[in-house]
Parts: sequence; C-alpha cells; structure tokens
Amino acid sequence: MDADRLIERLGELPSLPAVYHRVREAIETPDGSLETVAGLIESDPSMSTRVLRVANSPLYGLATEVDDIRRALTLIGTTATHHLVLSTTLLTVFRDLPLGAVSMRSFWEHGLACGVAARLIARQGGQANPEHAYLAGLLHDIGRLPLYILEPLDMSSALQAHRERQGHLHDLEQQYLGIDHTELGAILLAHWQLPEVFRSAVSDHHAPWRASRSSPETAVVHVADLIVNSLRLGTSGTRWVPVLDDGAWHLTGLDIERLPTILEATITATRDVISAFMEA
Amino acid sequence: MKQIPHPRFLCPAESVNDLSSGSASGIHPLALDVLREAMARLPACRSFAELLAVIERGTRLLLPTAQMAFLLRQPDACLEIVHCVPSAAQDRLRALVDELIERDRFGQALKQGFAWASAGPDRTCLLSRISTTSRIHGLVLWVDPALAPPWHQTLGALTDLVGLGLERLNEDAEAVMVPLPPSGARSRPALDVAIPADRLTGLAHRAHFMRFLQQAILDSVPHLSAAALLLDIDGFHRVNRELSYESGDQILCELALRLDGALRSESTCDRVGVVEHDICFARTGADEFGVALARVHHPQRLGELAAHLHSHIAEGFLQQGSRLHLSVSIGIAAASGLAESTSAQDLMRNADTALKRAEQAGRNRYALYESSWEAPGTPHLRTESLLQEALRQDSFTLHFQPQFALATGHLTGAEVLLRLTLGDGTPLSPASFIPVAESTGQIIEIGEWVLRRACRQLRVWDALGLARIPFAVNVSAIELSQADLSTRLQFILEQEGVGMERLHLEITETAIARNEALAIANLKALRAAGFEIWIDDFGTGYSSLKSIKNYPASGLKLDREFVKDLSEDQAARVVAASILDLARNLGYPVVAEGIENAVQCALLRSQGCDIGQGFHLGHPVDALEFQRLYLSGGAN
Repeated sequence: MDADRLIERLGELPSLPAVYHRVREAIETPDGSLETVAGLIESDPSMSTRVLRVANSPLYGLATEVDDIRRALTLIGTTATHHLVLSTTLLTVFRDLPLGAVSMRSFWEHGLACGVAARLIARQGGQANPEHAYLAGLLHDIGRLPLYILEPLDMSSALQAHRERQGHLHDLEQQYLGIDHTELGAILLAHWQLPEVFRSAVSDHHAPWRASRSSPETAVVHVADLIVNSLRLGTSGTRWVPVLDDGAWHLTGLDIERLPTILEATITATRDVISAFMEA
Repeated sequence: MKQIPHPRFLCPAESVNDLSSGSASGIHPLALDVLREAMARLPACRSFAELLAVIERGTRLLLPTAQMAFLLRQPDACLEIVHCVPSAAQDRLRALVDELIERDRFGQALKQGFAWASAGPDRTCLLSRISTTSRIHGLVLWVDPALAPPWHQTLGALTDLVGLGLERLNEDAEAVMVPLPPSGARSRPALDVAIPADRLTGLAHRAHFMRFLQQAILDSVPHLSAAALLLDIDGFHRVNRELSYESGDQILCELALRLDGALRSESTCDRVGVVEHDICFARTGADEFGVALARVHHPQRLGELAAHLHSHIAEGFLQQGSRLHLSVSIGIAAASGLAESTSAQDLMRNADTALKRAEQAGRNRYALYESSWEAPGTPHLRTESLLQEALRQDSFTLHFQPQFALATGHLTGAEVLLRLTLGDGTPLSPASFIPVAESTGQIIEIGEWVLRRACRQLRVWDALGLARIPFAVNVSAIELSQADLSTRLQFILEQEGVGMERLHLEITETAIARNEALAIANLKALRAAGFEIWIDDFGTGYSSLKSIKNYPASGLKLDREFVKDLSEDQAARVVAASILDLARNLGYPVVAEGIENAVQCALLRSQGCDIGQGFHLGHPVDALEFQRLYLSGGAN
C-alpha cells in the first residue's frame, strides 16, 4: 500500500526537461539526424558546455579534443548521444535537491563510477554492450532518489538501521518503505520510457539470478556496483559491499587477470568523469 | 596499498577446495595480507560494530561462504550471541551454539583458546577465544565446510586482534555491553555494544578523537603530516530556536552522515593523500565536528578538502517541507613532525584559532592556521596555563586609574584595570594575555573575577564612608557574544550587593560589530538593568558614525590615538573636535583617555570634553594607594 502510494507520487519529482524529449524525438524519428540534435543542444549554452566536456572525458576515449558539438556527436554515435544528453540533463535536474544523509554529490559520484566501471567491464568481457552497460550503471541506484526525496523520514530510519548493521540497505528499504530502490528505479525508468535492458539492470542488480533471461548488462552492473562500493567511489547510502553472485561474474565474460587493470582504470577515469559532469 | 583480489575472482569455480587444503606451510597465501589489513584498520575502529566489520571482511576473503557468530561476555558473566553473519542464519547458529555447549566445546575453547568440532559435512566449525592477557571477552564461532586445522592460526590471530581492539575501546566506553532482547524477540538482530560513540550521530567521541589525533601526531614525519579540521555550524542555535530541537538533531545527524560518507569516499581521501583508516571523524562539541587525519601526503591541499566538504552540503537540508541552507566554518591546522613538539591539544587549539578566523571572515569559509598569528615570544599554551594558575591562586590584582571632570577637577570615577605578576615578580602585560584569554574562553572566568573583585572594593570603600564613585570595567567581545550576559552580570552584582549604576561597562566598537544584532540586544538588556555603557576606543574601531546613533550607549571614550598628537598636530585637533561635536549632538558625554600633558588637558577642556583620564591626571595604582591619593581627602 505504501509502495503504491509512493509510486503514485513519482510525478512529484522534477520532470526531465523539454530539450531532452526533443533530442530523443529527433534521434528516434527515421528522418531525424544528429544535425538536428546538435542544433537543439547548442540552443542551450550551459548544456552545450557540459556535453562537450563530458564528450571529451575518458568516457568516450576520443583521440583528440573536440570543440564542436556536431563533430563530437558524430564521433560518439547516436546511442551514446542519447545517453550523454540523458545523463547530463539528469545530473542538472537532480543536482540541487537535498537528499538528507547522502549528499547529491556523493550520490552521483557513486552512479558515475558505477557507469565507468560497467563500461570497462563490458568492453573487456565482450558480452555486454558497453554503451548500455554505462547508462545502466549510472542509473542503477536511481530509485534511491525518490526514496530520499519523497519519504525522507522512513528512509532515514532505514539508514539508521543500516548503520546499526541490521542488514543490507535494500532489504531495510523493503522493510521500512514496502519497496526497495531497485523496484522503484525500474518503475521510474518505465516512466521515462527507457528500454527494457536498463529497467531489468536496475531492477535486478542486487539479484542477478532473479532475471528470467539474465542479461549481460545486468551482470555487468552487479559486478561494477560491487567494485565501486569496495573502492568507495561515492555512495548512495549503503556501507556494505554487496555479495558477489557467481553466475553474474561468469556472465560478464571477464577474465580475472583483467581485474586489477579495471580497478585502476575505474579510479582514474571516474575522477575525470566526475569533474566533467560536476563542475558548474 | 596492495589490492587483495577476492578469492572467488582468483578462481571462481574451485576456490573452496583449493583453500581447504591450505598450503604446505599450513598458512594460506592470503592470510598474511588479511592480517596486515586487519591490523591497519584496527586503530580507526571506534565501535564494536566496526571491529566486527574488520573480522568479517577478513573472514570473507578467506572463507567466502563462512557463517559466523560473535558471543560476548555479559555483565552477569554469561556468554550471549550479539551478532550473526548472515543474520538469516541466526536460528541455526543458536542451535549449534547450544549443541557445542552441551559437548563442552565451549569449556575447551575458553580454556585452550580454541576448539574444533565437526557434526556432519556442512557443520565443521572452529571456536576461538577473544581475549587478552587480562581478560576473556567472548568467543567467535566460524562454520564452513572448508574449515580445516591450518586455519586455526590465521583465524586465531584475527580473534586476538578483536581482543586488543575491545580492550582499547573499553577504556573509554561507558556502557560496554547491552544484551540483546531475550531470545525469541528476533525483531532486532542488531547489536549496540561497546560503542563509545555519540548517541545522536553515531560518530566517535572527543576522547577517542583526541587519542587518534595524538597518535597521528606521533606518527607524523616531515613528509606525512597530521592534521585537524574543526567544523562549526554558523549560528546553529537559531535552528534549534526557530525550528525545534528535534529538527536541530535531525539536521546534525544528516550533516554527520553526509560528511562521513564524503570522508569515506575515495575522491576525498585521494585529494589530500590519505587512506580511509587514517581519518577519524568525530562530534567534538554540540554543533562542532572534528576531522583528524594521519599520514597526510598533501597537507598543502587541506584547503581543497575543506572546500570539497562544503560542496557536500551546498544543496542544504530539507526540514518540515522547506529547504534550509546551513553554512559551516572550518578551521584547519597541520603538524608535520620534527618541526615542533606538538600535542593533540595544541593542534586542536590551533585549529580552533583558525576556526575563529574563518568565522570572523564570514559564513561558510575555511582558514588554515599559521604560526605567525601568534606574537613571537608569547607561547600560547604557557600563557593559558599561567592564566589558569592565576585564577586558581587568585594572583590577579586590580589597579584603578582615576577619572576627573575636566571643568572642575573633581574625581568622577575610576577605570578598573587587570594586572598579573608572575611568581618571579615580572609583570605580564594585559596586551599579551588578554588575547590568549579571549581565544581560550578563559576571559569569561577572568571577567567574572574582575567584576566580583571590583564589587568588593566598592563595598569596602562604601563601608569606610568614602566618595561613592562608579567603576568602569571592560567587557570583551567574547562576553558580549553570550546571550545571557545581562542576566549573568545582574546575578553577580546582586550576589555582591552592589547597584548596577555603580558599574560602567566599557565595550569597544569592534566587539559590537562582531555580532551586531546580539551585541545590541545585550547592550539594551544591560541598559535596562541599570548599567551604564561606554563605547571604548571610539573612532579607531570598525563602526561608526552610521551605527553609533543606534547604540544604547551612555557615553563615548575618545581613544588615546586622537589625544596623543593633540598638542602638535593640527589635524588631530580637528578630528578630536569633530568627535566631541558629534558626541555633543548625539547627547553623549565624552571621556578622553591617554591625557599625558597639560596642553592636551587644556585643549580638551576648551573643546568641551567632559571627563579626562591619563598619566597627567593620575597613574593606575592599587586600591590602597588609590584610596590614599584620591579618596581620603573626600572622606575627611
């Protein structure tokens, strides 16, 4: 019941800005072009600065610094353009809201780090689509935003219990709010009409075995979340490192030998990606 | 630090079997790494829960599927399960514990330090005693099919570390063990044992913080500094007053969690070059937090760290549906070994001095302590303890400087001046010890001492039937920033049996400007209570013409700066004249201080200055001398 009410209240969250919807339309219509998208982005100066900065961050590994939106979008491709615009608008919309016991900065640091790690794992493992893995990683805890914003008191009780070591935060969310961030996150992504691959990655990242047809993206996000939690790159509230699921590990296709390189690369790339996203 | 790969990562499929046999030497290859890491983390543990986390983590690396139960001795000497991993296995572990007790494995473990038991393929277990030389604290139970005798050494060493950690925690734990609710009531599988932590925020206490900081200082070498940051919420009392204490508590709690999260984050640690267990975050005061850092690689980036912490509270806090922005002032001090022998107290005092600077600079600032702030040759710490000593031994004395009506030459009052003479007879100038007293807060106590002494002197002279002159007493900025100043002063005077009108409080403009709203409220309350207020050092301070008319003052004291050059300098004469004019227009009488010669005296008199004070008219002298020189004539 509580959960239903919470789901109804998702509409109270800030909505995604019109420019995002227009960009998406332009990408999805058959005769749309990156040309149109570039025009839309350029019409918003602060957005174009940010988009360029992120496009030039280690996320996309462009060979040279690009200072032209059109060129940047062409180089990274249509899907990445969509994700880039979505992530920059999300971070702008949810940048200045108090979450309580977690700072918005820590929250996004955690998401971005997970996105970075997921992309690296996907690329190395060769099973998941790196671009999808990145966005799924970035969004994996997005369900915590409505929990913090809409139910601050219950959420702070859950956090308090978590600090007292009564259990994993996602279990305590279920206990105190009747729903956890994975479920709520998937519903939120459905509201935003994002494809199934992201919804299932968000909904199953703590229980990859649950997925009926386990997707490699879900498995990658599961492992990436574990890595960034142990490296303590930002935080969305939890203090425990989730337990690794063997099935998910195999599904990523990652070779154990690669792990140290991935940890190193996650730490360094995350630093630059965070500053590309966060600087005003 | 070396990355320790998860054993499952090493070999996801067969790890369990590999590990169970152990290597030829009987020690698992990861064992030393696990122990080394546990030892590194131990000093930062401030609660039993964190100690357990260290053990849990170590165990997970060695035996990913192990179940664990922690049993602690309760005040009634019984062993009680306080924590189970995973918590879902609690019932099973409880049953196993009962069975082991029956088979006397507990007795064996308590006597010999450890005990093995196997009751079927998935019930191989090891009991290990948590103890130090002086005390048995409890037992740890591990259950895992892969457990084998070679594990005893490693797990035993981990258990010994817990014992040491507990011993250290207990030193400052008030309540060490709180038993779980009676078995059956499983709704709270929590543990809140041995937590020498702040109840509200869950952070460490000041005592633990100071110990951590002291160790950090001892560990510091030229390239690895120790540092302390003090964070103070600007005007936090307003939150409590205007919202409620519950809201205040909640905000404190959220702030603590947010900053704790930020401090644990890699991006934060990396900034100044520390690792997580080199950080101790504590609640050091009601609305004050402290961050102690050990082995700081980049002390020059501590300012960046402060700015980074600010960025974590920039979005504010949600309270009762509306957003509240808090500003936090941060004072920073670092010590880098060798240079000077610093104590944790010194470092904290420096951080506090820096904090005061940050607060004075405005809201939401940070300041780094610089040793050049201290006047050379006045070691702060030495002065502070001298002052404490002087208060305790009552070795301060009061001197009195007479004030005369310039027109008639009649005695109108006396300014009370504080004097301190050291044991060897050398006088310590108030200019050197008053700033120290202000920074340490001792000024409050000293101020009260002065007030009581002055009152007693008034009573003595009254009893002798001498002229009933008023005394002028200085009130510091620190005192003025206390909301209950007027009540406190009235209370003292009532206790001493002296009327408020007998004391003229001298307050500098700078002191008022520091927190003008509170200062003005205080001044009004003091005036209403019957005190007279004189604005000291007028013309040199921060304010002035604009705000002076708002001050509920009784009069002005013309600063000696303007009096000094009166006889030679035409400009000084013009300035003095205009201040006197201004005061007259506002209806304020004026006391000129620092009159050193007859020319100055005559000039001031001719310009209508009411009262004068200075060497030319009378030096500050002790009570007996004052009585002899200025009061005896009046009595006869």
